[in-house]
Amino acid sequence: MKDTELNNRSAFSAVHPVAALLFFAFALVMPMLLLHPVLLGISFAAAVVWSFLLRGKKQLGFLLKFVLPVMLLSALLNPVFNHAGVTVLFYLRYNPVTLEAVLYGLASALMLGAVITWFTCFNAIFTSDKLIYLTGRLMPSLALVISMALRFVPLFTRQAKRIALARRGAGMGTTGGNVIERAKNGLSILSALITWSLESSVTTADSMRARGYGLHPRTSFSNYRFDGRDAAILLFTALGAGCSGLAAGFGAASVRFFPSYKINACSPLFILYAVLYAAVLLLPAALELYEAHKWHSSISKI
Amino acid sequence: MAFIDIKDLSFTYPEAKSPALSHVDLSIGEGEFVLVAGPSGCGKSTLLKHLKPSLAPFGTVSGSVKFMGRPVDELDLRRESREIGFVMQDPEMQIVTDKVWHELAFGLESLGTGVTEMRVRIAETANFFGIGKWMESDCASLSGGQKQLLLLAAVTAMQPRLLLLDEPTSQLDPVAASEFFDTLRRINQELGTTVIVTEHRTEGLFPIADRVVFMREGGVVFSGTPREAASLIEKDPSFTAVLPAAMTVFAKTRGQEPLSSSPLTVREGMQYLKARLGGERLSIPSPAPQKHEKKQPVIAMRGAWFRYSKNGADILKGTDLDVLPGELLAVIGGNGEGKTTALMAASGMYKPYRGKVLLNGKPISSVPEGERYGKTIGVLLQNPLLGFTRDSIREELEAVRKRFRLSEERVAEVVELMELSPILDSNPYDVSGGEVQRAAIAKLLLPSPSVLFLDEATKGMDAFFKLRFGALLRKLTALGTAIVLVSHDIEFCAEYADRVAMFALGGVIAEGSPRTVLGGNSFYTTAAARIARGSIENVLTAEDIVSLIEKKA
Repeated sequence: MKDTELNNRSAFSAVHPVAALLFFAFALVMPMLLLHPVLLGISFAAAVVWSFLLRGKKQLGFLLKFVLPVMLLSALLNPVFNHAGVTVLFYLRYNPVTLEAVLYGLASALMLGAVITWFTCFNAIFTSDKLIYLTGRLMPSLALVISMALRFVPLFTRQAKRIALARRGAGMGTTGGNVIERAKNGLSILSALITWSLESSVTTADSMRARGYGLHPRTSFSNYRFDGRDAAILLFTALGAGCSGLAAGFGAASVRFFPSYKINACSPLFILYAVLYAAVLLLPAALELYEAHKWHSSISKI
Repeated sequence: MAFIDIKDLSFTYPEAKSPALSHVDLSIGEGEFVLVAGPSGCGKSTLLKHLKPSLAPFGTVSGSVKFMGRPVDELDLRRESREIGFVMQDPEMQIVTDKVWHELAFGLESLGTGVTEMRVRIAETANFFGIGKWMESDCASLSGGQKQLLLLAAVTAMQPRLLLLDEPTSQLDPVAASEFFDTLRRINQELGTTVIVTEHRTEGLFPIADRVVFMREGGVVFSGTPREAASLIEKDPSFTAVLPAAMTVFAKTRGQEPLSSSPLTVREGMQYLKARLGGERLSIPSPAPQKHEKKQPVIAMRGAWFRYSKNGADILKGTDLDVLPGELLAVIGGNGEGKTTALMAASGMYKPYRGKVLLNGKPISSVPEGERYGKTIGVLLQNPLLGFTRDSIREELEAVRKRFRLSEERVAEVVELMELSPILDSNPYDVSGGEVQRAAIAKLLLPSPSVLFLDEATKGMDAFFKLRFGALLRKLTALGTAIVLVSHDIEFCAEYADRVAMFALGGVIAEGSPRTVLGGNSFYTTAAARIARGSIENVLTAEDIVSLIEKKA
């Protein structure tokens, strides 16, 4: 089955889950730690570029219908409710609207946009297989529970639909009843569903036991190999994280919103850090483009 | 030393009046392919479970079961799970994980196999079963047949020496079932694994099995080569229902021929019949075309088009279907052709986007749902258990009675008609598949509908039960209820349907009496008809052939 989240084949989805996890941790945590507008802008832009490479047209709809409205709302609401700051721009029904609050609103909008967009990328890349692999390394039995839950939830939904259909065909369905009748019918479906799941779990348990479930130690299968490229990605991300720590320590990326706005955006140290930050975050997008290019050029040689 | 040695094994379930197994003696050699057959409740599943200690039921046991010379219950869980594989009936419920690769790995993970070795085992298993292509798929996206093959592969990946299968194809269609049997045969032949399988679908297994064991009421009544089983029919004619058609014809017409020359397959049956008739060609007179009385159809589907999604393929392409009052109409056709969709459309459960469906001459959508289902139409989907919510069949019927404000007498009437009194207080999940089917039909019958739609009603029923079920359906149609039966079971439809509609290519491509529709087909027909091809025309059942030969003699 094709992964529905992914529009195109992704090069980054072949990266080892451990390296990918570290990258996402970095990309998701940094915007929340450093509210620097320039860095947030970089993060948001990098996330948007990659998400388009991953999801194509689908991402445009998501961006327009969900991400941008959320950002707009956050940018507008902050100055309306937050009156801190010394530079008053104007008064809205006797309440001051300050420049600092407007800027803070914009920064938090960028932060939200970046985090949401990185999450869409995470969703597309981190399939259940990878999640199970990562848990399986630590706790094989927890990995199994996740896998079983992932199977069971859609099965439950499907079964509920079948039950509703079966009841309808027997004239025991909902239509035509009042609210109480409908609630009763819903309860009957739920009760049938519970009976069914209890019964089926007996068979599932037998099937598990017949295949040695309960023996110790349990291992966890995976088909991931950690290669040189994974190591490079891991190291580069770690470097980015280390430098972020240093930059924060030296105050290279400092920003203050209240009471008055003060930003460090021109020092050489900041520019250096911002370039590195951008390089790390653009890594997946660069990887996608590089592989696509390599593929095309190798085809033209055939 | 035999591979498996069962000595005087008896077993009684707690609080059961009679034993489930009584004095079973059986010894099976390594590498044998054994078919265990018998009606539901004859104890074959119980016997199988005694060979797998972790699944052995609680109760009073006496006698002994030895696996490779040692009592089987002395095996520890590790050895047992590795060496004895078990596959059950329902594929959906046996699957544990969400992805195909994980299901394949499940047993090896339990055994604590290292990742490198697991990769090899999984790769070679996937290769053997030809399932490499769907390794990354969700288990939920597989068909029933693929799921069952996956489970077989998952068990085989642990390299068992003994494979136990409890009615593995009862939920599969005939095509998937024969694919499953082929794979089983390969496992047995190419890997040398000992196979013991219980099954109702004996026709496909007789040619593969080294040995056939018949059980009845907890005891073994026959154990021998498949060909020798022909002797069963001579002892008890009811075995005709279980044995391959070729064998039935042989057993009833063999004269002086020895049992060991009994035909098993359709091909052997054809050869036998040709020799028996000495090259003479016979024919059963084709039935006179039925005079259609001008009865108004209860359901009339006209030019219906239907598809599941906007951009999906059309499943119904201008389908016409009439259901006449009081007839048993069988809708047959290949797997995935859309028979069930046709049933859903004809019953008004799905709405065609073009064409119309009339219920007693009125558009079905103009009849409000409350009037339509229950009182006029009853629909029974596959897996009848889905409709049950209560603890006993009695309460279940009571709920329907209250809903439609029926009398207690009506309930008693239906209970008698469907022969439910012995199981009235049982939990629907505790009775056999055939009994659930009967209880589900009883629920539909209570408000006296004029049409019943049944989807795959004979699925998982044993041959003996089917005889009773067929008689029951006849009783219902005699009382004026029309029945539409969608089925893969050609033999059943040939025997009991008044009319057969063959569904393919999005519509009904042939309809008429079973003999006119099926008698002329060359492979989409009964085994008996295939055996008689080239010697006797218009044959439907083994009985047809036998009576013709007897008349001749």
